[in-house]
Amino acid sequence: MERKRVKSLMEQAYDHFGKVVLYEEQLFKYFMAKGMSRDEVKELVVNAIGKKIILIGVKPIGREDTMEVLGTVTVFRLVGRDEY
Amino acid sequence: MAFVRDIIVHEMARLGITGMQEFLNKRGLARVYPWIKEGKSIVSVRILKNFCQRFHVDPNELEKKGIIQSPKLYPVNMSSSDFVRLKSHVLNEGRISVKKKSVGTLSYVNQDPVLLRYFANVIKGLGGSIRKELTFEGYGLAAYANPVLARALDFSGLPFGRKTRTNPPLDSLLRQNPELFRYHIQATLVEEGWTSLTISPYRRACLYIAWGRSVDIMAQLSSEQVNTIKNITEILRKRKIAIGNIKDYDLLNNIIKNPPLLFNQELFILSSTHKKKGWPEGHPTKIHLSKKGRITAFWEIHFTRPNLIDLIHDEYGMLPGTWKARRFEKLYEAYRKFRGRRLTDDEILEIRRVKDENPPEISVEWVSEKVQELFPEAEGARNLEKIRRMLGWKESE
Repeated sequence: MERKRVKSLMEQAYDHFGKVVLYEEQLFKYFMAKGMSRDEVKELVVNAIGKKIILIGVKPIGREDTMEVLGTVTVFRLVGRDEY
Repeated sequence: MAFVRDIIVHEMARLGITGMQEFLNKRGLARVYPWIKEGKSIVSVRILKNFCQRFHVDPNELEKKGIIQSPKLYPVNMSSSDFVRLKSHVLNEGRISVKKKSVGTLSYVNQDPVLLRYFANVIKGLGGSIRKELTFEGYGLAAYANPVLARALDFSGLPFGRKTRTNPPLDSLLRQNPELFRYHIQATLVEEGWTSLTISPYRRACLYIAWGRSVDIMAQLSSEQVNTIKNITEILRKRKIAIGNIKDYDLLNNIIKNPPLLFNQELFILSSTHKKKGWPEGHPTKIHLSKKGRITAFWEIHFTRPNLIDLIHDEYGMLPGTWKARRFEKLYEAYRKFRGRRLTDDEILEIRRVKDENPPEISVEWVSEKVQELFPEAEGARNLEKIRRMLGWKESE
């Protein structure tokens, strides 16, 4: 898929939520609701990462009283919309 | 002392040997002879360990019998602030290892002598010392500290060996003590971090602060996934590949599920301490296939938002007096002056001047001056030619 097309699809998804960072689940649900299969979304996401349209990352989650990390959640950041 | 002598005499009798001094010399235990003869001696841990191994003695038994009278630097207070600070330095730029004939070595390698002084100060705070002479090791200067501290670090949860493989956690005290956590972040920013001042296509000043950590992910990957990575590195003819080259979502998912423990804890404490600031997430950016076939993932965190840049600068910053801290202050000053608006041509030139005057590469003059000032006894480390070679080695890497 062309870079322009991938970028446009991704921007639509982020604009839908009005955010620059989306959880994995949000991104998958959005595209699956648009009629894509899970494997097609995986391919699209990998494509978008390869084309530097989005970044894959994690946010740690845990107990704030003990500052203990219990796990992570996967997130995707849309590149180029950082605040300076 | 009779206990030690009896053990040796018993062994000599068993083997039918008469000369004790010769018997001990032949076994690399020459230092034990004056110990027995005079009833008191300074014996290194290495000799003590050797003695215990040779004669099948439990070191704890020696201690219980009061044979070890005034152990140097023992016990180590593992909950002291200096010990936790030492751990932060070692987690970043330190090395603890075990060699065949030693009982552990603890060293710290850095190009900036100011950081070596920070390391030496925490060692001093613990009652230890570093070797008088600094040595040139690869890309930096190395300071060696008392081996007993290497063993204490090991016991405290920072095991011997490559940190990418052992994946050690933060010291638990850092979770409870904001002042120690502040020191940890200051050290991490200067030891593992980098900063950059750039101009966006919209002519705006952008400052970013980042740091990164690596983790070995071999155990988390299937053999098929290992082969996928090997194939990509072969196709690209690079040992280090960008994460974007991975086209298998499940492999990507496996990498993302295994960030470095330390890195994760740092991000969590920062975001929990300063809530609702919009903390960025950590990203895996590169995958490295070593010559030995091991695979490591490199993770980074980047701060670009003005409120976070201010917070990092005001609440943490970098360890004062270091080359990187000095550079960061200059870049931050220019950033504060020009941020939030479209820059004129003259302002862009001024930013470029600030950047040129404050390069990221440490200068030969800085290393030389700081070595003389902070380590006057380390004469070997003043060699300008060796300093140049050390810094050049990194540039040509």
